[in-house]
Amino acid sequence: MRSIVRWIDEETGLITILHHFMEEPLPKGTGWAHVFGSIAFFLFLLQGLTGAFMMIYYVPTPDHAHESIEYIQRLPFGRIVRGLHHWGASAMVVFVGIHLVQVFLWGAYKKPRQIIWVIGVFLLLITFAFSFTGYLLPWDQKAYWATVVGTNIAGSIPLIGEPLKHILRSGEEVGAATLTRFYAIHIVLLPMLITVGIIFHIYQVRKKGITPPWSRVGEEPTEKPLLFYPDQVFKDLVAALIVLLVLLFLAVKFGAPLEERANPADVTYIPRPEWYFLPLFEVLKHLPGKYGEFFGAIVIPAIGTVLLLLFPYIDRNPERHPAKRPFAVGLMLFVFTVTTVFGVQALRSTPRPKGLDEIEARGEKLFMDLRCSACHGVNGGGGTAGPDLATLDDRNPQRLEAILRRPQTFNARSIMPSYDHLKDEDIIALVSYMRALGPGSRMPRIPIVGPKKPASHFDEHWMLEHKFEVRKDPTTCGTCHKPDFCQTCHQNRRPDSHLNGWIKAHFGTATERPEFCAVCHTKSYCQDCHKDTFHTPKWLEEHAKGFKARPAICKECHTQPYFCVECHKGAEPKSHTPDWIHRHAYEIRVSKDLEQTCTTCHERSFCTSCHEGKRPKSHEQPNFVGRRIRDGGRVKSGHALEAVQKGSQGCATCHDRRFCTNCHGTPMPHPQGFVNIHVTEARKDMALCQRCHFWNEPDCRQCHSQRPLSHTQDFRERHPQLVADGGMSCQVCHGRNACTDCHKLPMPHPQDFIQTHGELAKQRGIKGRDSMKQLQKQLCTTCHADKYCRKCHLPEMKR
Amino acid sequence: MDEISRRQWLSKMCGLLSAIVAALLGVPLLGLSLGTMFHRRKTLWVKVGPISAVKKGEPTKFVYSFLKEDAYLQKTERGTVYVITHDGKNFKVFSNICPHAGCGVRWERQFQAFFCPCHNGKFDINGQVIAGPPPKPLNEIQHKIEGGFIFIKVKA
Repeated sequence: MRSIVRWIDEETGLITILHHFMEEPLPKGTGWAHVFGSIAFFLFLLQGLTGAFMMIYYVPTPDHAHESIEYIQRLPFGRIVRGLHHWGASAMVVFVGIHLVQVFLWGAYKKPRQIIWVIGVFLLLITFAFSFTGYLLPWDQKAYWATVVGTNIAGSIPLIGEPLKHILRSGEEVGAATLTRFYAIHIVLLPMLITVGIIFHIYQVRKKGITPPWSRVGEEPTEKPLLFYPDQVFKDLVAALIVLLVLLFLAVKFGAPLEERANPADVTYIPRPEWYFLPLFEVLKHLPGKYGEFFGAIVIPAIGTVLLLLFPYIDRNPERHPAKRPFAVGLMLFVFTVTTVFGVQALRSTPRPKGLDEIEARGEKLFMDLRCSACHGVNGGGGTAGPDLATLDDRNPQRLEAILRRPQTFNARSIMPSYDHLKDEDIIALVSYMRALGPGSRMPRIPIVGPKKPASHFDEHWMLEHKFEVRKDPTTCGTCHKPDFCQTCHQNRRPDSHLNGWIKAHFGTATERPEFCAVCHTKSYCQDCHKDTFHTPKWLEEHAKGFKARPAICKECHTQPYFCVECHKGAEPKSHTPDWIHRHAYEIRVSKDLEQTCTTCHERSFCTSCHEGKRPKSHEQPNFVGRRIRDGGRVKSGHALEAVQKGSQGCATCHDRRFCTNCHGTPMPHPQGFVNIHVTEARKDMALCQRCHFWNEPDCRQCHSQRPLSHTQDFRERHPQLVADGGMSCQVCHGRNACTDCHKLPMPHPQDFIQTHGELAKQRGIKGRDSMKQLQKQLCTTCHADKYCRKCHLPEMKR
Repeated sequence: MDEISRRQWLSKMCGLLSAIVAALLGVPLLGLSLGTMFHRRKTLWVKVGPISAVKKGEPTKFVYSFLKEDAYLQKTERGTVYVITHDGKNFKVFSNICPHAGCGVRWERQFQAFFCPCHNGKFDINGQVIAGPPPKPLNEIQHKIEGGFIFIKVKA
C-alpha cells in the first residue's frame, strides 16, 4: 500500500502537495469558531452532489419539469436527495451568513486580508443567484410566481429595466426559454463561477494565513502551534456530520415542498419569497410609488452590497477585539436587528392557512373523498369546472347546505350531483369546511390513486374538450375510468345535443353509434319508451291507450299545446263521423273543393302531423320513383305520371314546392323556356337528363336530327379529344352503342377493361404467341401508339 | 509524545468521520441513481376484444392499446396478440413477438403456421416451433374472460 502511495507521489507529486496543503500550521486560538467556512464549503459540495444526481432524471421543459420532479420523488431515496438539496440550499445561505458574521466579529477582514472578504461577498452573491435560479426549476406554482416577481423587480430599474427583464426571461413571459436559461445558469455558469471564487478565496486564506484571534493589525504573533490536519479538520468534520444529520432529519421528516404544477392563469396565488428574501420583501411594502420597487429591491441591496465590499477599506481601526470596536459591532447589531424585525414582520403578514377544527377537518376529508376537488378548486388548485370555493361570496350556511342537497334548484343546468344522500353530520362538516376557506387556504394535496392523469386532462379547457375526445374513441376512457364514471356528472344533466328537438333526431345516432347512448343509458332504455309508442300504421286507433299509460312521452315530441285539440276539438262537421279517418283520403280525392274546405278549420300543416313519414297508397306501387316506359317512346315513372294526372297541386298537399327540384337536381317541372337553356344544363350533368329522357325520344329528335356544327370535315380524326363527357352527348344522335359499334370494342373502355382485355382477345379467337400483335393490329392501334402495350407487356414479350 | 499520539487519534477519527459522512451521503445518492432497477412495474388487465370475434380453429389477431408509464411520461403502447380457441370455451393468447430476435410473427393461413419474416421461423397453431431458429415456443400471455371479453395481463 505504502509503495503504491510512494509510486503515485513519485509520478505526480500529488501526495506531497496534499501533505503541504493539509498540514498548514494554524495560530493559537483557532478552533470551533472557525468551522463555518468549512461547513459552507461542505454544503457547496453537498449541493453539487445532490444536484448532479437529480440531473439524472430532471428535464428542464415546462411540459415535463414538474412531472420529472414528481417522478424523482417517487423513486427510492428521491425524496431524501431532493430534501437534502432543498434544505441544503437554505443551510448554505445560513452558514455563509454565519461565516460572514464570524469573520466580521473576529475582525479577520482587516489588513492584509481585505481581498478575502471581497471575494467572500461575491461568493455570497453567487449563493443568492443559485437560490434564485434553482427556484424556478421544479416549475410549480411557487417557482413560477417567485420568478415572475423576481424578474419584474429587475424590470423596475429605470432605462435598462425592460431589456434586462427581457434578457432574464428570454422573452416577454416566463416560459420554456426562461426555464432552460435558468437551468443552464444554475448548473453550468454559477458552479463555474463559484468554483473559481472558492479556489481563489481559499488560496488567499492559505497565502495570508488564518487571523490570530484578537491580535491588533500589524502585531500578529508568528507562533503557529496547531496543524490544519488533523486538529482543525477533526472539528470541521464533526460540525459537517452534525449539519448533515440535521439536514437528513429535515429531508426525511419534511422532504422538499412541491406545489401544484405552475399555472400562469391562476391569479389567486399569493407568491411569497424564500425566507432570506423576506426582509427585502417587507421593505418593498413600505416604499410605494413609481420608483419604490426600484429603490427597495435594487438600490438598498446595491448600497448594502457596495458598503459590505468596501467595509475593509473603510474600517481603519487596527483593533480586532469586538469590545474595542464599538462602532463596527454596533453597526452590525443594528443591521441584524433591522433585518430580523423586517423579516418577522413579513412572516406575520403572510396569510397563513387557518388551522381547521375537528368538524372542518372532517369536511376537508369528505371534500377529497367525494372527489369534489375534481370540479372545485381552492385558491386556484383543483378543478376549474365549478366555482372556486375559497372565493365564494355568499357563505350563508343554509344556502350552502341547500346547494349540496339540491344543486339544480339554483342552476337548472348544473352538473353537480346531489349529495342529499349524505348523513346530516357529513353535510354540516362540508358546510363548515367551505365556510372556513378563505384567501389563505390551500388546496389539500390530492392523493394519486390509480394511473396518473394523462397530460390532456391538465388542459385549461379539458372540461369542454373531453366530449370531443370521448367521441373519438369511447373505449380509451375505459382504460382508466369505470363505465359509470360519466354518471358522476351526467346523471343530473342531459348532454347539449339532447336539448332541442332531440327526440326527433335521436334515431340516427342511436342506430349508428349505440355505444354513445350506452355511456349513460341502459339497454332497456329504448324499450322503455318505444314499447307503447311505436307509431305503427294502426297507431291512430291505439294512440289513446298509449297516451293514457304515459302522457308525458307524447309531450316529448308534440310540444304544441293545441296538438290534441286540433283533432279532438268539439265542434266537428257532420262529415267527421267516427269512420271519417278512414274515409277522408277518398273524400278529399273525389272532391277537389273539399281540400279547400279542410283548410277552413285545419292548418296546412295539419295533414303532416299525421302523414309525416306515412306515404299515400299510390306511393307504394312498384317503380313509383323508378323508371317505367310508356308507349310512344316516352318515358315516365309512376310518380311523374301521377304528378301529370293530378297536377303539381296534388303533390303539394304533402310536399314542398322544392321537393321535386331537390331530387331532380334541375328545376322541376321544367319552367317555360327551359328548352333554350337545356344545353347548358345538360352539359353540367348529362346523366341527370337521362334519368327521365331517352335520346331517341321524338321530342329530342325534332331538333337533334341535323349534323351539328362541331362535326367538321376532320371530325373523325379529332373526335377522341372532343368526346370529353364519356360519349354522353354523342348518344343523343348516335344512340347508346354508337362508339362500340364503330370501334368494335367496349367504348369508352369500362373501368375493368385493363383486366378483361386479354379475355376479349381470346373471345375474338386471337390465340398464341403473336396474339397481342394481332389484337393490336386489329383494334388497339386505331387509337393507341404501337408502343402503348409495352408499358405493361414488355417483360412478357421477352420471355 | 503525548502530542503525537493525540494527532494520531485525531487522524483516525478524521478517517472515521469522513467514512460516516461519505456513507450517509453515498447511500441515498447511489440509491437514487440505481433506483429504477428496483422500481416495480405494475401489472394491468387490458381489454383485447370480444370472444365472439374469435374464429374456432384459427388464430384471430387482435390489436390492443393501453397507457404505459415511461418514467415521468405516459404513452399509448400498442401490441398484437393472436387468440386461439378450438372449442369456443378454452382460449389461448399468444404474443406475436418471436422469441428468437423479437420480430412480429404473423399467421399464414395457407401454411397453417405462424411465420416470422426475419429468419423464417415457423410455429404451429399451439405456438410450438416447427422450423427455423427460434429457441422456444411463442410466449403465451396470461388472460381472463369477463363479460364476453378477453383481457390480458400486461406490465404498465
